[in-house]
Amino acid sequence: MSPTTLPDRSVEYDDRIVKQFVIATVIWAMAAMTIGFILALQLAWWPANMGIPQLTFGRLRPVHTNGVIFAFTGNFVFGGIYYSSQRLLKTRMWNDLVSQFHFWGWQAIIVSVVLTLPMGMTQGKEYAEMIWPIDVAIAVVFLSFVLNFAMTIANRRVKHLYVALWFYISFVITIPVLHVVNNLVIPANLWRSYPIYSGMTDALVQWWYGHNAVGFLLTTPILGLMYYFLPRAAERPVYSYRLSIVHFWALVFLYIWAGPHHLLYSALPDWAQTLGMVFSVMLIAPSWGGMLNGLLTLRGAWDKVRTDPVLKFMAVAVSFYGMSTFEGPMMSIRAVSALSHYTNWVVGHVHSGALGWVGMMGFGTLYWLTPRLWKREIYSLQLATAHFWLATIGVVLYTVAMWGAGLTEGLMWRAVDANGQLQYPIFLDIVAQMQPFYWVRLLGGGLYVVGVYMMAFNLTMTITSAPVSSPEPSPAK
Amino acid sequence: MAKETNEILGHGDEADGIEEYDNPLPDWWLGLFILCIVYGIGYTINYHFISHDSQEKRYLAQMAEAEIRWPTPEGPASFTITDELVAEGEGVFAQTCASCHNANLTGGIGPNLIDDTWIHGNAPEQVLATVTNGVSDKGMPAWGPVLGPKKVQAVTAFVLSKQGSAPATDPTHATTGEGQGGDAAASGEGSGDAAQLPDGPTIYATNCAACHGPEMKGLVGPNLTDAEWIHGGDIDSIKHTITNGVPEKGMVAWGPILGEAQIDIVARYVQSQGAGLQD
Ligand code: HEC
Ligand code: HEC
Ligand code: HEM
Repeated sequence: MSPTTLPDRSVEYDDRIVKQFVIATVIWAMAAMTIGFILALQLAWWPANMGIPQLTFGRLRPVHTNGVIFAFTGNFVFGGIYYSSQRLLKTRMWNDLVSQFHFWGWQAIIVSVVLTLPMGMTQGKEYAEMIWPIDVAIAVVFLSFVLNFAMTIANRRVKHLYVALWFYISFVITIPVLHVVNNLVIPANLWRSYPIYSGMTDALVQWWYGHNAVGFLLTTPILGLMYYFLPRAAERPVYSYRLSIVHFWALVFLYIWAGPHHLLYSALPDWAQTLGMVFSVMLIAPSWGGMLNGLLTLRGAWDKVRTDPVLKFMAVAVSFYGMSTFEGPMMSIRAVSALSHYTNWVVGHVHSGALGWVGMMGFGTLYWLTPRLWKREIYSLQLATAHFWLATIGVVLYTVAMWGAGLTEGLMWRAVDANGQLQYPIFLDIVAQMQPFYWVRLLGGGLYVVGVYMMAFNLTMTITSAPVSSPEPSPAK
Repeated sequence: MAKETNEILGHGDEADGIEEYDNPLPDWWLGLFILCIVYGIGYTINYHFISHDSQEKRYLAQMAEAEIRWPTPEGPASFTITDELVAEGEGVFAQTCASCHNANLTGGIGPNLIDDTWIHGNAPEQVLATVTNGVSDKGMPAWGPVLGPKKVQAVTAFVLSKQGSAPATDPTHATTGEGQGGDAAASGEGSGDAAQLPDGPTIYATNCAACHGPEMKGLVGPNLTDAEWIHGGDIDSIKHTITNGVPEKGMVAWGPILGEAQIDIVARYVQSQGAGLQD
């Protein structure tokens, strides 16, 4: 802890809720990423379907995507917000019962998703597959969190709102709006419903939701957590307050319009496609603002980065954030999208963001938080460092394999021979070319998952070890 | 221009001890931001108001360009059946059509093409149209876009050249029509004449390779060379599976199509390729 910290010892923070979310994060990370590994195996070697309908790719994929987004990232973000907000506001969470309702409600939702999706109960909207009763539960539980968070801010004992909090607020406001608007349906029975939108409108609403789920669940709250945990771990001042203001407002303003980049060359009117494209290109600098503030905050702390796995994870996370927020805008350009759309390139992009940015931030934060929450020494620094290397090599293998696969299939689909005929008219021939890439991806993903298991072991050993005598104190106690 | 001051703002006690510098925006970052905004505005104005571009316009332009590079050949009018064309078509047929219509054109998944019964007509331009456009709701693919006009003409010429070559062994052929039963007769009844029957690899290549892969390693259907058998790996079980198929899983019932004798041959061939089964 930096010497300038002035913990206010008159408040007792609720750290129990943070511990609960930390444990849930680790458990769901293992579950959701193991399923991802099975999916990767199925694509490389189809008998891994095992002929069980509930375990075939189409049903298992949404379990994985919702699992990593809402179970792993969701729990991580909530835990990080509960920990940092109380300290930044010098205020205990408004109501412990609401916190507990939020936690257990969220876990119940995840379990119901894991049970319904493999049975084929789905709305068929990507990242919003959950059937309507679950959607209602998500809205209720999330709003309980919004209330708790808003009341805590209202009761705060500081005047100034630190930048991390702005990012949390953008997340807390935007997600319920996106979720509700995209899930407006007319129920037919308990399991089935019909969206109130049809055709292109439905697609546009879906990708307004889809892109902003990326923007306001996988980006802004994680940036907020970066603004809290990175300077805490590095014990350095944030590089530029001004930059954080400018890039925050630019980011939230521009993100909302960029959704149509998922629908280039579709039935969407040309003007709307242009809008999605140019807002995406304009997003480069605001996104890089976050990366810069992260990397430049580490100036003068690089010697620590060399030894501390927490900072290693965060430095690499921020770099991957910069990489994927450059790649994304490039893929939003009409001519590039014409090649990359529908290919494995998109999968590569997703995972440089998800594994590289979100995942690495998550691991760094967990390694920092766990010893402090439980007041223990970390069980093994070497193991954490080994996790770091496995994860880094894993992401690189994964993204490089998917770039190769995406470019290969994108170019083969459009190749014509000397007579103007398709050079590869048999689609299956192109699918067969993907197999070696899929094996490399499996290897990369496998390393990443093994790393997560190592982390789970390391953190469990940390929690169950004997308390240290002079712990890094939680200012509350 | 803007200089780093590294001056602490002093919010730290209100931010859990985290201090912030009041450094200016990096120049190159601000430049990048402005550049992207200028690009966005410029692109929009150019696309919509100067070039009046649209995806439809781009599509038409690309089609026009393709028309110049690869002009659409003259229609069926110039379609004359020559020996070379037939020879070329024979190769195309073996590669592309035999899996459904059988190597000797006597039918399988698709109908017999050498009998007198035609669903879509046997005039050259009719056959050409069927092959080009397909019969999508009955499972005949449209080959025009896949093969291109030249190969379609060639394979059509080949089909037409085989007209009336229906095996004389099969008197029921013309009346039963669509061929599915035709070769069952050809192979079943004609099995006395074993020398006439194709060998295992040939039967496999024409009927099974499409789903089980050219090397039996599996594609749509499972690998047949490994030691894992869903429906049993002894010769009787294999024959039974091939004869009755697994319709709900997409394995065709070959009994009526190939007949007992050919099924015996291909089943033995399949078994001989299997791992560790020669008991
Ligand atoms: C996937 C299986 C399949 C393949 C491969 C296939 N066909 Fe067919 N074909 C069919 C089916 C099924 C029909 C019957 C359509 C109907 O019932 O209307 C058919 C019908 C036809 C007919 C019309 C027969 C009639 O009685 O009018 C012709 C001619 C034909 N195919 C030629 C070809 C040629 C030439 C090729 C190769 C370029 C080919 N087919 C490849 C399945 C196939
Ligand atoms: C249209 C695709 C298709 C074609 C053509 C096809 N099969 Fe199959 N075959 C399958 C499928 C799918 C299965 C798996 C059935 C299952 O899962 O129960 C299968 C299963 C089998 C099995 C059983 C394998 C086991 O593990 O028990 C044998 C033997 C077999 N096929 C032989 C053949 C032979 C011989 C031919 C050619 C005469 C042929 N198949 C043509 C799709 C096909
Ligand atoms: C400026 C920032 C970004 C922009 C402009 C952007 C743009 C894009 C584009 C153009 C696609 C491809 C759509 C397609 O062709 O189908 C895409 C897909 C995707 N991106 Fe990004 N991206 C950005 C950052 C991120 C980040 C940081 C993540 C974090 C994980 C992310 C996650 C995803 C996901 C999950 C998809 C897959 C969507 C699908 O299922 O089709 N993106 N993005």
